Amino acid sequence: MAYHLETQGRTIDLDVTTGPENTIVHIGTQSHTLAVERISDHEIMMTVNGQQIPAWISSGPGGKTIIVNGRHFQVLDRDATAPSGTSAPGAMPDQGAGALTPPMPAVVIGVPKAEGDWVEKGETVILLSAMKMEAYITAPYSGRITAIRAAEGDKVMPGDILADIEPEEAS
Amino acid sequence: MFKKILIANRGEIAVRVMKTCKEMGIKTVAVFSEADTRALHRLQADQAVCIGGADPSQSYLNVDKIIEAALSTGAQAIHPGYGFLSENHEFARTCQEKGLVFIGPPPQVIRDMGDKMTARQMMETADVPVIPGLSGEDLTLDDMARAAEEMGYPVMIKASAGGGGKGIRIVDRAADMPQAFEAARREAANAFGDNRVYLEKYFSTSRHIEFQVLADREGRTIHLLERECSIQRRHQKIIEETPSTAVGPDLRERMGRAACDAARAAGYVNAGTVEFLLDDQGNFYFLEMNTRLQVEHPITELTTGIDLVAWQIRIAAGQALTLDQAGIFARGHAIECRIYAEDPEQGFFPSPGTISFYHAPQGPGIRNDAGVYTGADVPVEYDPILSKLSVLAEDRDQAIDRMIQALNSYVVFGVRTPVDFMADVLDSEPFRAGDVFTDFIPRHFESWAADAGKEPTAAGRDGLPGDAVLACLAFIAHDLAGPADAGGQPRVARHQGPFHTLGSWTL
Amino acid sequence: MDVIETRIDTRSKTYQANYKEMTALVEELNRELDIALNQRSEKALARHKETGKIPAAKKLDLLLDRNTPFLEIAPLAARGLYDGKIHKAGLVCGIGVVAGRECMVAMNDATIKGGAMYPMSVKKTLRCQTIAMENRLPFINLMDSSGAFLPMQSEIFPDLDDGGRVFFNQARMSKMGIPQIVGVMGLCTAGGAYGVAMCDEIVHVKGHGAIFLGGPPLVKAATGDEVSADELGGPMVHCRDSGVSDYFAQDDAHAISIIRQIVGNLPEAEKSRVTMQPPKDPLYDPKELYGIVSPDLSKPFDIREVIARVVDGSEFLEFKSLYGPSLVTGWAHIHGYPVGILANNGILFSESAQKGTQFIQLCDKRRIPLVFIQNINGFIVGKAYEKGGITKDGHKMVNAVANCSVPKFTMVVGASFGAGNYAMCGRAYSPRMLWMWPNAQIGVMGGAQAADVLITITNDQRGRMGQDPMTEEEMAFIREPVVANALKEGNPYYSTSQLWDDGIIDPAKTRDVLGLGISAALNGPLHSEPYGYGVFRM
Repeated sequence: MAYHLETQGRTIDLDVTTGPENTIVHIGTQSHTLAVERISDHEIMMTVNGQQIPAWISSGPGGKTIIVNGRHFQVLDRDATAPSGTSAPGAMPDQGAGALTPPMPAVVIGVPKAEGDWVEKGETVILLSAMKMEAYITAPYSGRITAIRAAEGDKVMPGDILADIEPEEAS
Repeated sequence: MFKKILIANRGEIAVRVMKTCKEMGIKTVAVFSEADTRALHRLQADQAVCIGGADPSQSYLNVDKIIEAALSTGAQAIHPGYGFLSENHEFARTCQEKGLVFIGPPPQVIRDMGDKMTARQMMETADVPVIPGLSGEDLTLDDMARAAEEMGYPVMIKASAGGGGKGIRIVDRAADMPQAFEAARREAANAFGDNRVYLEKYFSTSRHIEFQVLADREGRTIHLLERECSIQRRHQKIIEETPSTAVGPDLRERMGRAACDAARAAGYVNAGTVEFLLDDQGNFYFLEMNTRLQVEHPITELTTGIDLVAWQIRIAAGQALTLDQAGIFARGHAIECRIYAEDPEQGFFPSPGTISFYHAPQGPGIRNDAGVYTGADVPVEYDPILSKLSVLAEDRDQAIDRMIQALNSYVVFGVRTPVDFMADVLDSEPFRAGDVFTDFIPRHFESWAADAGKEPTAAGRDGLPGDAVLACLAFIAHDLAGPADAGGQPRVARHQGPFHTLGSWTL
Repeated sequence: MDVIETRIDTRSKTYQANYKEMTALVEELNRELDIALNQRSEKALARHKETGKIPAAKKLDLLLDRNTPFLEIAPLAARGLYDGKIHKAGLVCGIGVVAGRECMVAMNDATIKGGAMYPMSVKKTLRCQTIAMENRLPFINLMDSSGAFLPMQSEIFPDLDDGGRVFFNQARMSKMGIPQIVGVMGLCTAGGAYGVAMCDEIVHVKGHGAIFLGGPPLVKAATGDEVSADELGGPMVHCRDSGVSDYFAQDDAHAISIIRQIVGNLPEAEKSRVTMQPPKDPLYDPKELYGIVSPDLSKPFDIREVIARVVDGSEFLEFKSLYGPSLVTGWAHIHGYPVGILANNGILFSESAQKGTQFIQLCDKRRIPLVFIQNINGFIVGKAYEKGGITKDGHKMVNAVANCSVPKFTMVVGASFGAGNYAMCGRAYSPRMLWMWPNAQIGVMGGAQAADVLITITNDQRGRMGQDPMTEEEMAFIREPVVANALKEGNPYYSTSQLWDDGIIDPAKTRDVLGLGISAALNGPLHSEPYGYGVFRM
């Protein structure tokens, strides 16, 4: 079992191997043997590396309040608060998303940028009108416009690449 | 002696007063607000009267309702505790008028001592040293500036009607004087409805030392030694101890005599406290007199063995003080920590809520005056003090160790308490050395975190990981331990199947 | 409730000897499980890691709720088959808790021959689908398979219980309302593509997830076009253009997080209601089972001693204890769930078969799950018994076992021979789950018995042809291969390799696997079909 816990604003990654005799918790290069008995609703007795450590625990949404050695810790379960793996859920797919192409057949009603211009991520490159609605094609990342293939009044189709942007070097 | 006393207060102090009443065979009447229907003080009294809404003005500050409760329950006396109406001379007077005994000094004494300028003048007359300064009616900016120039900056402008750290402005240089003067008057007018201010020399490195006094109606006045109250945050005491490391026998003798002089000068009757400022040269100055029981009274009770509440009641009932000064001596060292519902990692911001679990420390030399229990609420409307934890030990070092252990086993869930912060304060080098001054917290504990910024994976003692990692292990261990066994009784009507009870099971 | 009082003397020589032997058998089992879990080629592991994929065990870890059990299905399937390296038949499967919900989980282990599908892989997939259908468990599939192992295509492709049946089942499960969620975590080509598309919801991983009917090599052969897997069937193609896939995942972990959210949003499972009792451990240590059962199947033991270490509080109300005593029947609870237990205490006679029939009908009528504890050498034979109609009574029990429709569970704790296997709910009688202890043996009859039958028949033939009976040497020549073969094929590892069971288990875990199995079964209806039986021959 993997745990990604957060306390004091820091993340601690722990890997837990449970065996019939004891449990081993790995943290980075360290490993600790752990055994536990529940004493009451809020109290457990841990045996860590052979030493008894009582702990007091109260569970709340997304984490637990833990008192150990008299210290208070708010320990959050990163997996419960943000159930994503290594990346944020719902993140925009970045592959191929750079294509500047209309979402539906449309007419170009404005081209505010020119070839060679620098654009910031999110800046409008092409203005379209389709189905009586205006739509904007925006820069998916910051960079320099290397080509524009649309002029005002052009009818454009999905899949037509209306502009190319060379991403800034850092990306 | 009284047969029945109404306690016009709430929380731990009301509970503490009731304990002595019970020992003395006196029935108790609790008053409580609508926010306190399940508060401990309400549950512990012989009778309880709801006196109004949660807002203090509708309940614990509502003189009419409290008097009415006393009269309707047949209480003969009212103990005001501290805070709320305890230093309200009009309340004390109303009690008298209605034939009820107010357990405290006469109304006029409350009034005189409540007005800081009047108190200052009375003490000057009685040759009790007061802080160099300037007081009087209708002081102008020019008067203040001149006086400040003479005594040297920094100085303090204080509201005459103030107290408890409110209405104080510190002025570091002449240029700031005009603005500070106006601001202090404005603040005083807003906070106390009284814009009179006075000037005092400001001591940046000073201690707050107070003396407990007892006086009976015949003018017998004694003191019960000092309390060191320098550890403060936001001008409020949080850790007190007795004796003070800064007070030797000679100074104690002189300060004690001054305290009794001050009480006599004020015409004091009942229990009170004379507060002094002690500068780093060993000079002491009268600060103010508190005409009530202090929060920190337990440490005096622990070292002297005297029940202050019992004496308050006896004196109020007209009995003579049978203690004499020669018979008062302290044994051992006592420390008190005020356990508030507050978050030490969030600037001591109050942390109200419901206490889901409460486990107080126990053991030899440990006293915990609590006003809460598991399931109790800590309402937002009142001072969020949960309990006063006090210890008594042979000497200061032992008392510190005992208190740290007590704090470490003080467990509260539902609200945050500063017990770990306090343990760190007690264990700090300057505290252990006795170097406690009123600026202790801002100087040594400006920013503080439960693990004091240690690397989370840094090793702790005895081959164990650090506390943050232990907390993470506890998190996991708690998961592994499975659901609690509620004494053989099924916790849910539908029992949980093995997919929920077996834990991380594999073939 | 009546409590079984143990008569076991844990200090006795027999107990100690049995314990030692069973300990060795369990150690062997754990070794086999460890090999199946961990024996992978370094090359495959490295390649897997390079592609940014997460190992199967880690995927399982991320997918399941923390600190919950995983009832693995057939962890030793395909053991010793093919080249001996297709551990778990290339698939990790089992029942586990995902977002609070009991689910059937199946995933390819691409570190085994790229996740190629062998005949046993298909059989295991079908078995998991059956479990999901019988128990109405949501089916989560994490696909990463290079496709059918082509050299064995004839054993994978055409028949009733071959590859096509997987998709047939998927369609049926969809109709039944069993959620099917798939994570595309590798290539899903041709059949694999259908396997994905037949699911309700598809989570497609960037970088290494691809779906197509024909992969890049086929496209090149057909049209000459050179195209990458990602261009042909990557998540951008299927999430944006084709609409085949429903969720775009940045990596395996992200896909698993999405799957957990999908399961979390499923309507709550309305589990079938049984009258539970507070679960409690047996009075006696389940480990004592090691010392009770002799690895020598000819040594009898009281099956009540086994029951006492399996049921809650060792509480067992025995039904008809004096009648037909070679079959023990009665009421108990396992992990709080009520069960009716049928357990062998010797071979089946007419009375025991009749009693079993009655008890099965009773449980069926009351909707109480059945647990069969098998240690059976068969039905009694002989002149008197044939005359007494043993066939008639055996038929009754087989009829009842086949037609009763409450969940049935079978634990083979010793012998499983002949029609006894059938009457005691062998694999063909569709128990929801069937497990074996490591000492178990399965076959038409025991090896020695089979050899003796063969020798008798041969000698009879010789006699008819006027030849002399066989010499000792000749008899040994017949006996030895028969006994050896019976030992080989009757061995539980042979059984589990062939997926005749759902796994070999440590006897001490009997109560837990049964409890988990019952819990899973309650996700489905208690009666899989209306109550009713065929004609009982009277």
